Amino acid sequence: MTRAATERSIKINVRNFSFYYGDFQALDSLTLGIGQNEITALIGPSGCGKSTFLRSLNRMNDTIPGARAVGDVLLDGKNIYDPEVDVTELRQRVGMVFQRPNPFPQSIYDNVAFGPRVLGTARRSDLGDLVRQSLIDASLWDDVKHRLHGSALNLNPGQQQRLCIARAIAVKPDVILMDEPCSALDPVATLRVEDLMRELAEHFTIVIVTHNMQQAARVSDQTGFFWLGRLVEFDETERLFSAPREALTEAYITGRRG
Amino acid sequence: MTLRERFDQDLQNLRQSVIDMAQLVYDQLVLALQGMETLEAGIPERVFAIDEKVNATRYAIEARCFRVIATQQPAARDLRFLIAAMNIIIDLERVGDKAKDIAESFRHLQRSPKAAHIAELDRMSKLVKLMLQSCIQAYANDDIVLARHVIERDTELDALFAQVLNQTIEQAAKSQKEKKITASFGVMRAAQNLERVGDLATNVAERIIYTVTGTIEEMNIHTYKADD
Repeated sequence: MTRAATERSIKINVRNFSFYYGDFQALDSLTLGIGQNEITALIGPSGCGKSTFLRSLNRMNDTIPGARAVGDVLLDGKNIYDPEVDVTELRQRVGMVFQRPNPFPQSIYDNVAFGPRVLGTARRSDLGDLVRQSLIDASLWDDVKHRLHGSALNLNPGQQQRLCIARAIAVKPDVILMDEPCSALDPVATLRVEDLMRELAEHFTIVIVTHNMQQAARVSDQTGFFWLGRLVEFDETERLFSAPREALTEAYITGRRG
Repeated sequence: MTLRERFDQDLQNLRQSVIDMAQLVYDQLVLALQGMETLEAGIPERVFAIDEKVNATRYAIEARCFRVIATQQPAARDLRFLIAAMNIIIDLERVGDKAKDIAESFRHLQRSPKAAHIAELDRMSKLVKLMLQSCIQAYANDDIVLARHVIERDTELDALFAQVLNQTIEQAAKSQKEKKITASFGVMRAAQNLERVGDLATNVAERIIYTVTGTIEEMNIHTYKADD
C-alpha cells in the first residue's frame, strides 16, 4: 500500500501555510507534501485545524469573513492563493465530499450530471456515458442502473455518499477532499466507501479528514497528526501507527490525549 | 476507572504475568542446572512438572493478549508491547523446553560424573542464568541498555560453547570408554541447550528494545563458516 518516499510525486506542496479567522490563528506554519495518487489522512482532536486545512486546499474558507491565508499551497507547482486563480476552476480540480451525504433533491442521473452541465465540461451526447462511468467508478452503477431517473433521496445513506463521490468525480478533478465521509455510515457502508477510496486513488489524489483512527490506518498511505493548529507529525501511515516519532502523536493515537 | 485507565491496568497486569512466567522458567532452568551439577535424584521429574505450568501460563497470557487486541484496537507502543509479549512468551516456553532437555541429559552425565565436570560448562550455566535474569529486569523496567548487554553477552556464550565442544570431543576420543563417551555426549547435549537458551534470551532482549524504540535491532548475526 505504502510506496517508498523516493517514488512519491508531490501533487500539493504546502509551504509555511498559516490560516487566520480574524485574530485567531487556526493553522500555524504547515509544511507538507501531499503525494499524487496517494491517500493522505488528517487526524487530530476536534478543533485542531484539520478540517480548516482540508477546506484551505480548495479555498472553501474564502467566504468566511475575516479569513486570511498566509504562505503557499502549490497545486502542481502553482499557488492556489494567487489572486489570478479562478476559484471555480480550482474547485473543479479539487473536489469535496462532505460528512453527511448531501445529494440534491433531484434524480440520480441529474445529481451526477450537475457538475459537467454547469461547467460545460461534457458534450450533451457524452453526458450519458460520463454519468454511467462516474457511477461505475463510484461502485454505485449496479445498485442504480435501473432507476437512474428515480430520486437520489430514496437511496440509503451509504449509496447517497457514493452518489456524492460519483458527483465529485464526474467533473474529472485531480484531487478529492473528504471530510469525515463515513461518519454517518454503518460499518458495512463504511468499508465499501473505504474500498472505493483505494480504487479511486489509482486515478485521483485523496485527502481525508477522519476521527476514526482505524480508518486512517486502514486506507491511507500518509497520515498527518494535527494539534492546536500545528502539524505535529506527518509520516507514512504504517510508521505513524506503529512507531510514531513524537510523544504527542503516541499519546493521541493510543487514546491518552485528545 | 475510565476505559483507558482499565486498558492501562490490563497492560500492567499482562507485564506482571510475563515477568511471573519468566521467573518460573528461570527457576525451572536453575533447577535443571542444579541437577546437572549435583546429579541429585528426582530433579528431572521436578523440572518436567514445572513445564506443565509454564505451558499453561503461556496459553493463558496469549489469550489475554488476543482479547486486549480485539477489544482495544491498540496502536503504536501499546501494540508493540502486546506483539512483543506474545513473542516473548513463546521464547520463554522454549527456554522451559531446553531446561527439560538439559534434565534429560542427566542419565548420560551420570555414567561418568568426573567426565561430566567441565569448567567451561559451569561458566556457560552461570552466564545463561545471568542473561535470563537480566532479561527479566530489562523487561520489567524497559531497560534497553541492559537488554543490549544481554545480546552482547551471547557472543561470549557462543565462544564457551565452542570450547566445551572441543574439550568433550577430545576427551571422548582419548578415553575410548563407553561410560566416558556417554558422559561427554551428555555434556555436549547440555551445552548445546544452554547455547540455545542464550539465543532465546537474545530474542527476548531484541523484543524489549523493539517495544521501547519501535525498531528491531537484530544483533549477533552469524554467517556459516566451514571451519567453525
